[in-house]
Amino acid sequence: MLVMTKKLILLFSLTFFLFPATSFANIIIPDDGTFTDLTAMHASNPIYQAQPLGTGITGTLTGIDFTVTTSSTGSGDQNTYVGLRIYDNATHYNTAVSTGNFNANDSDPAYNRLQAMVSYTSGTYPITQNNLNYTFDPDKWYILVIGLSRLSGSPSGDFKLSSVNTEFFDSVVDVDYGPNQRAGGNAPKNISVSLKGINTPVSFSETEIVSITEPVSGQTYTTGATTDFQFDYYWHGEYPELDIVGVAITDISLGLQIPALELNIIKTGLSTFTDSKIFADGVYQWRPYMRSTATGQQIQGDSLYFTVGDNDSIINYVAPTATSTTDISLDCSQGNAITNSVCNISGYLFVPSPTATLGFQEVNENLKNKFPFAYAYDFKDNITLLYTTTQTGTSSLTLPFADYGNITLISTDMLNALPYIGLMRTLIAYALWLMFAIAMYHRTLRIFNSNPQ
Amino acid sequence: MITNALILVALFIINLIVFIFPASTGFPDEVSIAVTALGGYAGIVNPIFPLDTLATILGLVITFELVVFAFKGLKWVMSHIPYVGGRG
Repeated sequence: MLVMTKKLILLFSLTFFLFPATSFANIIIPDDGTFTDLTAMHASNPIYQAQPLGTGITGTLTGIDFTVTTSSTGSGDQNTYVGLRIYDNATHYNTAVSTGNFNANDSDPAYNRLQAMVSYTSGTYPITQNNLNYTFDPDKWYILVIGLSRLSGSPSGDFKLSSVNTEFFDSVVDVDYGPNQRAGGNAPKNISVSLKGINTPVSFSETEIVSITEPVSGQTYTTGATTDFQFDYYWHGEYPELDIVGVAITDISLGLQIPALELNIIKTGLSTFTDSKIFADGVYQWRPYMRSTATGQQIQGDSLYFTVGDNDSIINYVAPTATSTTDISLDCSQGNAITNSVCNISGYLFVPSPTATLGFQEVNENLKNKFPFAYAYDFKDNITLLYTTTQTGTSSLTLPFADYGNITLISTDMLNALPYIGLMRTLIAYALWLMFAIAMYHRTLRIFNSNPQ
Repeated sequence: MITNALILVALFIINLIVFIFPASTGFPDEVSIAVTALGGYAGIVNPIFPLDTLATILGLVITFELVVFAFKGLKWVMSHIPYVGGRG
């Protein structure tokens, strides 16, 4: 029995490696309205805002304009910079954010930022940049940072994020240097910055459903409990005919459509859809949507799953590779009455129902919660996670010095400035593949030259 | 209908076997947290040394060895089936 169990684990592990994992992505829409805020930015608070923009942004950023207004509480230094920068990051799991990829044609292209030099004398400093032509990658995460650059006597500083917690939603930032840490540092100075009129004409092509709160995939409700639906949606007026926001629900245990929960769209900024319903035991698929009663146009979010019932007996659906529950159908209308009838009978006899095929998914989900298969699934998930986090990591290594502040040893800018590092990396990759090929060749020969038993 | 019946019978048998195994939640969450942290550190080195390539190769090696092992296991099972495995 133990031997057979080990073999089964290995077989299922093999299956996992052959089928890629999928994941759902929520979308956070940036605050693209006009706002005014007066925030003191100084050594301990040089970041005014670190706002997550999220993934799924598929439009093009064509221009940004905002105004910095300063008022002085210190004196002297003329080399204070306030500006805006958009960081991209392929996953929100990364803790280091240093991949500047904002190709603005600004005054300091080496640092890819929009900035204005301001002084401690009160004044207004407009920053406008048109024709940015920056295209967002829908698979990457973006974070918008507005902050001070350091005072070093030349525009060589940068907005500095030394750490961001694992969820960008909270945007907890620690800043490891500020204006008072410049060379020959004077007493700490404060600068109050009023940012006005940030206007980011970003279009979003797919969905305006953002940040689904619940139920997330895999969530289980006990029998008789109220199932709460909550998600944020954003109104930016691109589709003015949309007037209904709702939740489409399907009982995939029985293949039944449940009456949708619908509300009128609130046509201003970011709003939250909240509604609830009590369900019978079963497995349910749900997705948020926005639709137009006049034209029938519909924008929909990701499909998610939840279950209702006893935790031990109900299958949890977590991000399946295929979410389609459409009937497997035959087109039996092409021939004459006899051939069409034969086609229909054949379909009835031999074409399996969606419920039957979904049963294989249920087996897969059942196994995830059973010893020892749960460990095999976890092992595979962790290998995938390790691969993803390694591949999307950012190259940033900074050491703190008492006299000189933080010195960056490895950075993206450094790698960009030293192209042979990329060449070296490519050559190492080729060498690894070559070693792999040779090892596989010898391994295969050994298998065929020996008794595999 | 026929295919449906065959699938449902197969699913019933498989689910019956799966039901025998005790429930488990797998590794503790701390394992995933540790792996995420490890990936973050590896990500610092990755732009210089292609760790992602190394991970891909490692996955291929594991897959290859699993295929070999599965093949051996299949042969072992077949060898224990009377007449099929050469035993009468």
